[in-house]
Amino acid sequence: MKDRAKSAVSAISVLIFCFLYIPLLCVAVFSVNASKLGLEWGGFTWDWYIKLFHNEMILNAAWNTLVLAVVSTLISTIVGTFLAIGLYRFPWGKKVLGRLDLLLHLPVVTPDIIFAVALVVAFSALRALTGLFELGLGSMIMGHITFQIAFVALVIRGRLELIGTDVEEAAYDLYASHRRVLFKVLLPLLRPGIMAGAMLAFTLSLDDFVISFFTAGPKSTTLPLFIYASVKRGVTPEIHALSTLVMILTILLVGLMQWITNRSASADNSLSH
Amino acid sequence: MDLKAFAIWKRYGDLEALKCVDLKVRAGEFFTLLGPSGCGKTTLLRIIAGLEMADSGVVMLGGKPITWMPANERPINTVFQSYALFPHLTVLENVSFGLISRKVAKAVAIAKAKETLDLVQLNGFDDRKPHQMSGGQRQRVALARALANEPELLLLDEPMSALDAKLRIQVQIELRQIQQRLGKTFIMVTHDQQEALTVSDRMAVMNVGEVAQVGDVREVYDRPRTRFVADFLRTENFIAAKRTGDHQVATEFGEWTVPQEVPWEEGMVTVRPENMRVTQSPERCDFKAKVRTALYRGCYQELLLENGLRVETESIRPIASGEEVMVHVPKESVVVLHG
Repeated sequence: MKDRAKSAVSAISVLIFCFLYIPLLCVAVFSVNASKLGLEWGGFTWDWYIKLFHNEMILNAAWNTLVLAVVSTLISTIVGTFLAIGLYRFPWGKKVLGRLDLLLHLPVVTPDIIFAVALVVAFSALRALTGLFELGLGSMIMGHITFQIAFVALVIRGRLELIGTDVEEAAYDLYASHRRVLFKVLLPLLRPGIMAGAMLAFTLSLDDFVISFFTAGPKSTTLPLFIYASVKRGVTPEIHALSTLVMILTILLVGLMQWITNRSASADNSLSH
Repeated sequence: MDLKAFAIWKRYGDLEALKCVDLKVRAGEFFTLLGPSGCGKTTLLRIIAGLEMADSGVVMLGGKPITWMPANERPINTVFQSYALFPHLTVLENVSFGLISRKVAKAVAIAKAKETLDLVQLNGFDDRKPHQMSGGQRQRVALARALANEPELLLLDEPMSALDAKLRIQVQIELRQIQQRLGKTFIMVTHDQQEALTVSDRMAVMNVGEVAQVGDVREVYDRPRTRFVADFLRTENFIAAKRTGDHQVATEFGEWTVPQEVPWEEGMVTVRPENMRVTQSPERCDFKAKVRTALYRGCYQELLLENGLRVETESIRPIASGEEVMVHVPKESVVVLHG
């Protein structure tokens, strides 16, 4: 009886994984399929990947995506880290902290589309006032930062809770200035959290479509926007190749993130006494 | 240096953690704050360390007020209950951290750190990280990290609570020896009365935000003032009594002459179980009682009597449950409680 239940559970897990990964696998298979149209197998080829790397528009979109992701991640990680430290280390009252906490969670649960529309409105208002803030890569970076910050801060908050306040108190007790506590104790201990937060922000930016779509300018097409635009003209094997590459990149990032988390796990044993 | 705290108050919302606490710790003594959890002893220690600010009151170190001085400027170091070692730094970096904070030249700081590690008998671990060490070793690192700064006052927050019983006794002895060798003022917080008695010169027993009694450890142990202190120091035998003279009380076991003056008409006296004697001579017998349970404790036997009292006897003859024994109470060991 027990065995049957066990095998049923494993069977269901396998099915769920199939459900999750078969579509992705199909994309990968079609990306090396020589026949251009339809579902029949026309033999193995790397042609689509080669074509991909000769397509100026795609390369441009890839570059935009990368710049957008790197810049927004860098800024949102720095700001998010200090936001988390400020929120969870400053002696706020319980009520105030509860409200600030809510404010931090709000961007995470707000639907992207609402956020995007709000950004468009905000940018046009700012543009009317200052004449700056043309839609383009700059506005996209700002848009991405606004939603990344909350995620980064939440990841780092978890790390702050794990570290506890003991170690910082010990540093103050050992004559350290605020600066020394921050750079020699807090930031080194937060590093795995900061890395995880940055990685999350990076993947979020890489994946993002909705906010990019609303805040993009004519020249700032990113990969998701490019794919969306091309799909309207019909899915080509080139898109499959591109999707497969993005997928592999994401998997690598997730793997890297896990590696970092595991590596710091052993050092954390001494934190949770 | 000596430490004085006057009228310290500390509230957390509705909870009054410290209610007008006064404390005087003499220079060079090992002082212990003893009390059950939630009595405010750790809060008081944190206020002395500067990790917490009192709502009101004054803290003075060596005659100078340090009430509002931040923790990183006080010549005080702390051994934390969790040790709070820096997990990303090596042992040597941990121990030299305070010196380098104070801009001591690196070579000097390293030399001092090594010397302090010698003092706590922890050689050859310089490049280890805290998570590669045992609990006892980490505790030594925490102690060395605090002592390396040559603080005027060392604070210890339940420093031995994470050690096993055997190691704890060893560390107690070493801690006492280190304190005597350095001649510095140590203040320790603990809930373990045995630990307090072993290591300290004087102690304060605390009860819900107040100091119940301060004194020499022997004095507090032998002459607890209140029922709370007596109970916390495991006196266990509480006997209702009526005053019949300045040094006379009437108890259910007869009229006793007690060593202290009796301040009340009706109150309590107490006798430690180890001070009561099982006797064979009828003229020394203060009362007879049946043994409800006899427990063998190795070097002594503990008798739980049917009248509710507890007697510890070193009698070699095994005493069985149900047996009737004659008990002698040496009157000089009777303590009159004040409340």
